[in-house]
Amino acid sequence: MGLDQVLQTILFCLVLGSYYTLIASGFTLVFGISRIFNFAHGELYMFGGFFLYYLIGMWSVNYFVALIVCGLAVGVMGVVLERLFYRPVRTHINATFMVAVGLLLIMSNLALVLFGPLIKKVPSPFAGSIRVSPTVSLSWERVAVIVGCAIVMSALHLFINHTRQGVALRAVAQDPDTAALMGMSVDRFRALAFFAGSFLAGVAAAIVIPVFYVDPFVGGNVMLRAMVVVILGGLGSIPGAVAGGFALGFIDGLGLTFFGYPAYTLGWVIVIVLMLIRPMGLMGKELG
Amino acid sequence: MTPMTRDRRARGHWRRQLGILALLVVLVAVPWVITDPYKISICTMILINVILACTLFPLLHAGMFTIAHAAFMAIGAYSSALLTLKAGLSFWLAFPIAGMVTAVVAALIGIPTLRTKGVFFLLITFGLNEVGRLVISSLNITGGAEGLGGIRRIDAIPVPGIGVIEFTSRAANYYFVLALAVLTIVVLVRLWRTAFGRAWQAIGQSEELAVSLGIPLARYKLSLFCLSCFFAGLTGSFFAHYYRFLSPADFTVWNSIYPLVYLQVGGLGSMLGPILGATILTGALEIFRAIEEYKPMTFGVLLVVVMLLAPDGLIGFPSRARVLWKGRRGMR
Amino acid sequence: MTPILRCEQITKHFGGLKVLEHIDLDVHAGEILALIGPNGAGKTTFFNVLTGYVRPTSGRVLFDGQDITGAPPDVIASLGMVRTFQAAIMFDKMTVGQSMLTAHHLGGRGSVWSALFNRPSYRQREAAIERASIELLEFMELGDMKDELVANLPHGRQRALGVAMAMATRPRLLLLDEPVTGMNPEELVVLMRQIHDLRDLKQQTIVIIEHHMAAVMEFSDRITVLNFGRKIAEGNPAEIGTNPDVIEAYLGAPVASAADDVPHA
Repeated sequence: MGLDQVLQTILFCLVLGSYYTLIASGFTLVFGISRIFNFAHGELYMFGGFFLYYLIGMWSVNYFVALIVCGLAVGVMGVVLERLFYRPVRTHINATFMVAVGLLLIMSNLALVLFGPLIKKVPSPFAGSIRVSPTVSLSWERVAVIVGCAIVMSALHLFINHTRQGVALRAVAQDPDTAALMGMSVDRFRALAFFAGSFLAGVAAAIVIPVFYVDPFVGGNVMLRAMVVVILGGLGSIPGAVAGGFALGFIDGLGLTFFGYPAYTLGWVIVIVLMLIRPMGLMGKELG
Repeated sequence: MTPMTRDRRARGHWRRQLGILALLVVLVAVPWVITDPYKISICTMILINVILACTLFPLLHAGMFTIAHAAFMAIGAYSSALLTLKAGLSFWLAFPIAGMVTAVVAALIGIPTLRTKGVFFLLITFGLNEVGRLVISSLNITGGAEGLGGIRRIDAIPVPGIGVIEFTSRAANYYFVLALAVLTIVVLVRLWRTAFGRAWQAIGQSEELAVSLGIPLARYKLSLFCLSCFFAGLTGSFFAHYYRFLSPADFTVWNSIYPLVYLQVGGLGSMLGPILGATILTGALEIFRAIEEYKPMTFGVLLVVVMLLAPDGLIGFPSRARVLWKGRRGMR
Repeated sequence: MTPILRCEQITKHFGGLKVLEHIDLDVHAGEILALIGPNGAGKTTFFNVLTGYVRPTSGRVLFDGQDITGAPPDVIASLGMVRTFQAAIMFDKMTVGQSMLTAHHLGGRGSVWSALFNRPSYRQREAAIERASIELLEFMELGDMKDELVANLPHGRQRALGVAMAMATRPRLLLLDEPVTGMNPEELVVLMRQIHDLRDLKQQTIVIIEHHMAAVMEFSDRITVLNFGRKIAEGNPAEIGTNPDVIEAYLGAPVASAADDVPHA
């Protein structure tokens, strides 16, 4: 395999890894703080993609403005989901899952009714490509994905660690009981977490969709990969989402290049083994 | 009947026995009354979903929320298909073997995975179903993504005193799956009412307390899991020889999730829940073909409504309505 | 005579935290042994080690001479050592009667086949379990709550049910973890009397963790005192009541003791 092909593959993995990190970060943020497994996270991403399509396609909004608008709109959707649907069942993981399944069915088919079944492509504001080597080039829109991921994750890091709200979110994530005792409204912070996580989903869609495409059913596949990333990196950990995202980016990227479609199995096998090795169950619990 | 249970059950007991008998008569009469083969095939599909939902009933009560059931059905389906296609076995041999194979695989998978709890068990079973689907679509022997076709019907079987029964008609296949459904439900309901059923319920409500009373956690969870998957495998085998074509698209995580939806909507209070849930969600929505494109959304809406407003499901509705009614009229 | 339970140098460290340190303990058949000590002394952890919920860092647990260290809780229960829980852990979707029937699981289920086909042997076992359940419920004065949902029971009755369920396993050794916590004075007296009756009428060997000093002093044959994971005293109630180490452990400073000045937790 020539050096050029190696370079091409690495770039492909980087783009994939950025994509995975972006979509997984919102999901893991929500889980880390609220302990709610928002299985419908992929649908939020999908709606973000459609919002982008209509903002840019119909109303010719500036891309960067559209990006923010997508984030805000999807963020609001997330808060609505939390308030109306997840809050009543948040204590039981199985109930949360079933509600999420219901939401997923509603949202994807609502999108089908509203937007039609055809896939929609969104033109990227970044035209052209950069020549990395005589035979290898990378389109600017893909570079935007990698750069966008870096920017978003840095901003997220700043938010979580250096703003009052962010630090408070971390406190609630680590110890909700103490936080409640100290007068923090756990409900409000859960809503904030959903807003932040869903905002990330919207922004991720705005960054990534121009490279790929959007249709009412992309949410499912997005969710499948996000689940693997989040387990790899650790449920609830944002640095984990980055590490896991790029790890899976390389696993999938290399796997798809050499083995094609079946390579998706590898990610799942790894995380299943990972989950089994964790000490869980009755004996692992420390009582008294 | 024992003294402790007699008081509560005596009242409804004979009414229930009569109801079950009436239901069986109706079910047996279906192919005589409904002659349209298409409608009979819908009834067959309903019964398949009923079996799957019912096999999940004890698992959920025992604390095992699995999203891998379609994968086990697939194991039964492909085993049976390959045994008849490649090894030339008769269906009547392949059928039980497929069930056993599924149970054995369930045991192998269950031993490491049943130790995990909560969100991890959910994710692991989810992942296992995905891996299963991906493996099926990658192997040549299972036909890859295009699927496996040319599967024989259920072989004709000579029955002493009646003659040879052929399975070329939809009615004959309907009776087969009806018999399978009755067998599955009878076994599961019977076991649920025994000391083992109590132990499984105990495990589902508090593993800590259950083991302190001497209930062997790992062994009981594993045996229930294997039993449930055994019936899923048998159903898969029938599925293969009824539709005569298998593809990975028949065994996705959605095929594992839908039976859970039937169970939840129908209600977890008794085995009537999954029966009702599967029947209504499969049958009624099939009948209203006009809203075909709105079917998944209707599912979703129904599921969310049930989860949030009526967690006891359809069978819990009468008592819930009674409680709500009493509340409104100010009765204590 | 071999003690029914012998603990040799039981030690448990959770990471750097030393919860139990080299505890030796013998329990003799037919006695009520009280395990007392300030909060955090490691008493519940000790029960967890005995009954297999937690593996000791070192040390051995010998039940009837048999080494059961590290065996799983259901095996230990089947050998005859059963514990109750400090927290009100119940089968919350069952009725009192159903809980009692479930608690008799060790007593008889037979094979799956005999259950599946409702053979006479199975039916006989079920009938015996029924009778035993009713008898125990009546003994613990829960007979009239048979069809009540466990979740609807007042806290004190739930604790009593917990004891009844442990008794249903017909244990050789019963470990009660703070059975009277959260009970009102009447319920407390009733339960302590029932525990005493268990020893007298059914020759039950009991180890009880309790903070209620008056009850401990009145009902136990022997008392073992733990503090910071170590055994600091052992003896009959009179000896313990006047032991300066014990008093210091509870009050934090040496006190000129009067013989009838019983320390409270």
